[in-house]
Amino acid sequence: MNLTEMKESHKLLGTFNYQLGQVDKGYANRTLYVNLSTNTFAEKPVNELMKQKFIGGRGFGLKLLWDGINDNTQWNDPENELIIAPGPIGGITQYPGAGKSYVVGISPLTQSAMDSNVGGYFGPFLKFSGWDALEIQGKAERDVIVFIDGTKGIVTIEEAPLEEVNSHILIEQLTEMYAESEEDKVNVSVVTAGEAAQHTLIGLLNFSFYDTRRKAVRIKQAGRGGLGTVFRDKNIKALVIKSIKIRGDLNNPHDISTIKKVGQKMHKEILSLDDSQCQMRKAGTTHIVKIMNDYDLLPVRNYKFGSDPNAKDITHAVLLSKYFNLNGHDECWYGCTLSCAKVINSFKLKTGPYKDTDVIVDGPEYETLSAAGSVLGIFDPEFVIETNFYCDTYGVDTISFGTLTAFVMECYENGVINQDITGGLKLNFGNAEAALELLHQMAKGEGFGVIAGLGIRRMKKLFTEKYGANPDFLQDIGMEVKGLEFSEYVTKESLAQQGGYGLTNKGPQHDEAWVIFMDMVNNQIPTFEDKAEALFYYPMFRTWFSLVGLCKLPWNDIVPADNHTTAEPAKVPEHVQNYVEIYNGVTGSNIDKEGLISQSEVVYNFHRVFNLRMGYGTREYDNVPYRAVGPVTVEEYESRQDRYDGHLKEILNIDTVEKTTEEKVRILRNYREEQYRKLCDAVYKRRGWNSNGIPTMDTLQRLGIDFSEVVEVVKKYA
Amino acid sequence: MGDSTSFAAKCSYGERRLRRNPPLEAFVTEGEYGLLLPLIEVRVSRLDEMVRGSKMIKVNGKDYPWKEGLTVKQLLAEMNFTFPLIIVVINGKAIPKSEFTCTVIKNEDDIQAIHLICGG
Repeated sequence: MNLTEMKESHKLLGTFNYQLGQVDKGYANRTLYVNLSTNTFAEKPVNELMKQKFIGGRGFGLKLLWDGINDNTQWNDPENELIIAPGPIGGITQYPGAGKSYVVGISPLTQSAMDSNVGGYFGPFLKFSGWDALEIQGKAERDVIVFIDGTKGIVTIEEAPLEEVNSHILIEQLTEMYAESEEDKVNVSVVTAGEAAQHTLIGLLNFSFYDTRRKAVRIKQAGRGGLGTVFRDKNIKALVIKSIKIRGDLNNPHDISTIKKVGQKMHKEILSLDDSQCQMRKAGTTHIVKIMNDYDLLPVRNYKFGSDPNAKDITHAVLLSKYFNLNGHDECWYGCTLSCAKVINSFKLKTGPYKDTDVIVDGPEYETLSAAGSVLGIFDPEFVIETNFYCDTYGVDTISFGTLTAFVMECYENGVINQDITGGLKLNFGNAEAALELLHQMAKGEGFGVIAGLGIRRMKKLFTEKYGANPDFLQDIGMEVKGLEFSEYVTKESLAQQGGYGLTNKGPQHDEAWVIFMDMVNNQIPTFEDKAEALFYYPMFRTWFSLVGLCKLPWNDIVPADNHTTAEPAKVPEHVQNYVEIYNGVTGSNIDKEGLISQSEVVYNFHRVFNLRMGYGTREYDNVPYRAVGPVTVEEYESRQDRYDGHLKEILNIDTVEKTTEEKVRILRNYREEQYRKLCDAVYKRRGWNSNGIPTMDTLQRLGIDFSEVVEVVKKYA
Repeated sequence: MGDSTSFAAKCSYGERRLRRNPPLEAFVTEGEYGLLLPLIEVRVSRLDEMVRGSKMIKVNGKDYPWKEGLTVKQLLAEMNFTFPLIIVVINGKAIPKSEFTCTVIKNEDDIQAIHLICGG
């Protein structure tokens, strides 16, 4: 089957011609609406209120989704939307990390508003093609491609029956098909999911860019929340965008000289200091595995433990010496000197439909090294790499795959499920072959893969109702909150990070807050008020990146040489000031550091009310499984007996000598669960929410989001 | 499964040592020992001197045993603080990374070892 035959088989369902326009101070000032049920399009203006309140990126996505659905919209209804938006800073080339896009939709896992961030070129290309957001609603009857030609001002919906569904082949096909030449490939970006996204609720989206040095397509992922499943449910095979050639001034910034100056300073800092700091340019985020293992924070065997002697086999040292190839493009947008997107040029697959093929593998990153490794009790780097590849091409989130498989493994080892239920799969911890076979089943929609692909929340219910499992035990060990699986950090010894995961809007994903070290190691936030302040500032600051189209990693995976002399080095104040100057330099605004926080607070609280609207925004949904708080089992307690006995003695003045481990587990649990409740009280107060976790009217008024529809939702629940 | 050199195990070492060596008041009262008190006091005083003379520093707010010649670099190694981006502040003064090997920690110093880490 050649590309010409594939293209000729496309059936044109709808066409939209538009004026190309020009970006002004970071905004195209309009969004593109596409309806796949009616094959119609619309151009929606972006007004000043929308820019002022919602900024861009995730903010635009949430606002468009709020307006587009109704209170009863389910994730698989045609009314559900998928929105992709960059942000006003997105697409600059002068400062690292400016290529991010934010995807928003109702999640199949949480059944509420989900946002997921992703690198790659699509978001900036979308803006430079004339759009601040792409909003897709409805469902196509058969697989379609939506193509945005940003060089001619044409959008088409094309039925596409013959192309592959799995990403590593499909992206290559479409890049080749829509680029006019080899040189033009760098101006094409493709969004795809894959087979497993059709058969599970944990589907992801791959966003591509063309690596001119390796002459290959590369991909980044919008992993969390199952938005790839929504994509395939709408029968979208792919989104393709073709952009004009990228230049550094396409955002038409207010003051490009300031942006250049700040950028040059930052590039110099990265090039001179990265090698002696986190070595992001060499190892990417993989350097975190050793650190987490050293500090007892690496999830091992479904978060039971925090370290393992075998973790040395999946550290950056192994990946650098045997697998990573550092000679090509390691940035996922122009101008990113942090360059952390590591790649394996050639890896021979051992299993599955592409067995014995040599493929390029993007990653693995830290999260995948844990999710496809330590959390499963597997420390074989080649298993991790193969799982990484197949998760990407099949379109499933490695984090959810790993965390739910770890849950399944613990259920299997405890007799909750058996080989009759798993269809013969011996899902013990450490069984790499069985774990990979489970992934292949997810892709095919067969066997136990169908059940596992439902995610932990639904599996807990099913195992209880169908197999008579103890629901309390499953609640304790099932690492999910709000329906989303935990990302890869052990939080047992950090009360603040328990809140950092439990008190998120989307579910336990660390992009909102990552305060483990500040709490557990640095001991910088000892009181509830300190923790509450951290769980106000850091989620708000981190949210800001998702509004403007930036990656967080250049913020503090590299720090200035004199950062240690500042009053609050954890905030990296010089970089915060950089962001203020860049935002003002692009948009012509005049905000300060406090202004960044204020911008985020608006969108953050809007998202909280959105959850409320969907029925999930109250205190009960902020609870975390006990495995995230303390030792569930005797085995866990006794693996860290000194630590836990010490806590009982020092904090509760309990003499542990005469007590059984079961008794000590119970006492510690009562204490820690009470601590979590108190933390929630303190955080709600700091955030301006009532004791049920609902933003108060005063808060809504102060933030200027006391719109009638928002107030109506809050009044119903408050 | 983690071993005795893990960070968490080391963190509680200081507290355990203190509990094995409680202060003088825990040993004697005047009423109990009467005439023998001065002798006991002397003996207990010497014991207490040894105990109270035990050298301690604070690391991130928690007690940690001090020894002569302990450098910042050695302390970080003992604590298993392996993260590359650590800011060390001793008694409010930041110590550049280049001086970790030659900076000697004194008894009763208050040390903050702040890890700057973002997450992956």
